[in-house]
Amino acid sequence: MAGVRLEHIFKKYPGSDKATVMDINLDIKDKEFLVLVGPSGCGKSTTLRMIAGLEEISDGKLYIGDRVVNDVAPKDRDIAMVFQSYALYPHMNVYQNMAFGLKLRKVKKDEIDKRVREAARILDIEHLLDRKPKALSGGQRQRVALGRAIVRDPQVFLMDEPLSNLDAKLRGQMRAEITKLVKRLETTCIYVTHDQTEAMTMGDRIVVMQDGIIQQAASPEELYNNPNNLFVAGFIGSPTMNFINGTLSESNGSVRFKSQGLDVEVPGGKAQILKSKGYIGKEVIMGVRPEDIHEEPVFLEASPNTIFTAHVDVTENLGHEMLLYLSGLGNDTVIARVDGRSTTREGNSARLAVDMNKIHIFDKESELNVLLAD
Amino acid sequence: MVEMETLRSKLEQVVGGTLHMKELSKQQSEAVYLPVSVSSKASSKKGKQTEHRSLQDVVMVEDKVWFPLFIKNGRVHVIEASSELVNDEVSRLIGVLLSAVREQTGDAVEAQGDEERELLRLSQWIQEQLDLGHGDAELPDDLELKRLLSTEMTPFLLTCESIHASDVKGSQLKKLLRSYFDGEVVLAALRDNEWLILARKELVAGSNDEKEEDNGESETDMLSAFSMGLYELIASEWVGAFHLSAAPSFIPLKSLPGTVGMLRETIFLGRTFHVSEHVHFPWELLLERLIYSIPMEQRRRFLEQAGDHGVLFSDNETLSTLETFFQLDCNVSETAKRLYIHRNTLLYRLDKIKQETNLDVRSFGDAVLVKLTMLLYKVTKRK
Repeated sequence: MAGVRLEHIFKKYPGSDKATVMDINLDIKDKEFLVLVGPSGCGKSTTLRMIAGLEEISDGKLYIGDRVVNDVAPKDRDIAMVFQSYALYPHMNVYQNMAFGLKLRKVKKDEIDKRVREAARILDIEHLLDRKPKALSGGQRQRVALGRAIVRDPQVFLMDEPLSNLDAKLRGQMRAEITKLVKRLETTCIYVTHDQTEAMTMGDRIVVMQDGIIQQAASPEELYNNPNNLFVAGFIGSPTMNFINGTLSESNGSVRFKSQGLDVEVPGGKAQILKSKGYIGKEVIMGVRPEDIHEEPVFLEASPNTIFTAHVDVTENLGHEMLLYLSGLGNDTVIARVDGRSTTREGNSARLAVDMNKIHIFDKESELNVLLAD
Repeated sequence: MVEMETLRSKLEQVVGGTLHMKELSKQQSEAVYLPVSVSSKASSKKGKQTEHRSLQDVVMVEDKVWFPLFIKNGRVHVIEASSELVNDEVSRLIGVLLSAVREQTGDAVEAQGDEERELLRLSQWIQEQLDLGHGDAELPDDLELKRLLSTEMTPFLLTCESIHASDVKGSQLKKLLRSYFDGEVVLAALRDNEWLILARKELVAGSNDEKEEDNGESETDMLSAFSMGLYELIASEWVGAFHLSAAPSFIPLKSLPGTVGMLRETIFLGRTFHVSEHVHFPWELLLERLIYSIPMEQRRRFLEQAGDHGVLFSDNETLSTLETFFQLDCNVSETAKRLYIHRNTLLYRLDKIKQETNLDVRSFGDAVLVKLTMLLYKVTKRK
């Protein structure tokens, strides 16, 4: 097993005036499950394909273990890839599909048999070994593609959106299975997805990318609780974080955030940071997650300085929770996630309060989270 | 025949470091190994001795050691090692070992040379016919491959653009293909890093028994699946970045140059119009072929008349939205799903396009117009 290190990696396609991937620096530890996440076109798949050797690296150095592999062909990198398309070899049965890579490497027959059957057992596809790919369901095909990677016993697994061709239910199941499998095999894994839920639930560490640049690389908890900037804050979390434009002001020693329909007090610690950074009197963006807007009477009683009233446009009851779509605060709709037993109904006004200890303040120009340490 | 690649990997295990297979340039080969028939008179007069090396030599070149394996097409193939990795004693031992292996395999190498000469002739003939515009020329009678190419075969064309391309060996590719197709295939190197693969139809389509199980799966469906598998195999087991095109089976005897020309055009069109794709099929690029055949002046005129929406198409998000929308037969739900966006987000994007172009891609006529201008944009404006 081995770690993977990317040092100042760039990718620029011929004829293009802009780099697709810019100055990527990452140190992926041995046995780490790293997820690259971002919207389509952000450069995550290109980065993975460079690691796989399927795209040339325009600049920078790529290490697998201690070896620079920029000029090493994919077959010599000791990696195994699983793609979204999971193109199986259509004329071979499942056993042959899984055994083929080992056969090419001249692994002994009994060893091939042992590894294929073991992988089939782990993936619960032992009963499918004689079938051809066209006789398999999407989920089964995906398992075979995984099996083909597992039998290689590689130093690194590379997975590019391996679940996106599956339906939602199967995707949920396979998500947990892949996580369990990679932990069990104790192999470094780099996983690309557009889906922040997959990223949050699977990764030891998540790298959020946009426009070819790493926006933040951190643990799921750190990303969720302390996003570096507006993009990361909006990308991670579902429903997404609410962003409200407003102004910070100071009166009677306390700092307040004021916006259309909202006038709330910023707690001491955060207020101190904002004052020291010169944000008083400036326009900023306040970020608040839906679950940090409360309607419970106990919370409202304890937070009299953060209470506001808004119009409830729509309610979505998901059983265990209810989403309230509120208007009257800033320009956009604000979403609050409240208890599923809430009696609030659409068309009415609701009295709510913001948990100001959980808010984020973003600079309007740079979009950086100004409450984080420099 | 002892497989040189296997030998190299076994030697690697013995010396505990990396050894590379290398094909020397003609200049290197001539200067270092091939017997020089007459030494330079000038140098002889000056009393200098020209060094005549034989293939058995182990040669130090700067910080590298070369162990010669065989000569092919006037080029010497060697195993290259760092001089730090092998001391004199180990070098001599490897030299003796390889010398013995060469004696065993001499005939086989010669035989392979004959086959390669035939393939080289085939490649040159194809190129000549293409240059002359004789797409349907019949294979020449003196080509020994003619009999083999008189049956129905499936053609594939592979072009490699990887930095590893210079290191790749046709012999490795042939072995890989033999394993994948589970039978012999014709592999001809056409140009630098371009290979033509011809496989008997039944190797791709399966036997008659298997065909009966296919439940009406068309030849193009089967060929698509087969090519995708082949792409993934070659990408991971051989060379990395490359493009592949394939066409339905035909009898190469009569129209091989034309088919090669069509496969080349397919890769060109695929790379021009679908930059992120690596496997291209002629039946998926019919409209693209038509668009490309329109003279530049007429393309420009059409864009001027139909409305130049370059700004719209230069936005990656809009372009990928439209491409996916058209690919999925203008189905809003499927497109939203494929793009991982909410249906309303897609509708918002389509409305935005309508506002900017006055064309609603949900109506057939407007969709055709936008599709055409989008394709024209790709060949006229895109950087």
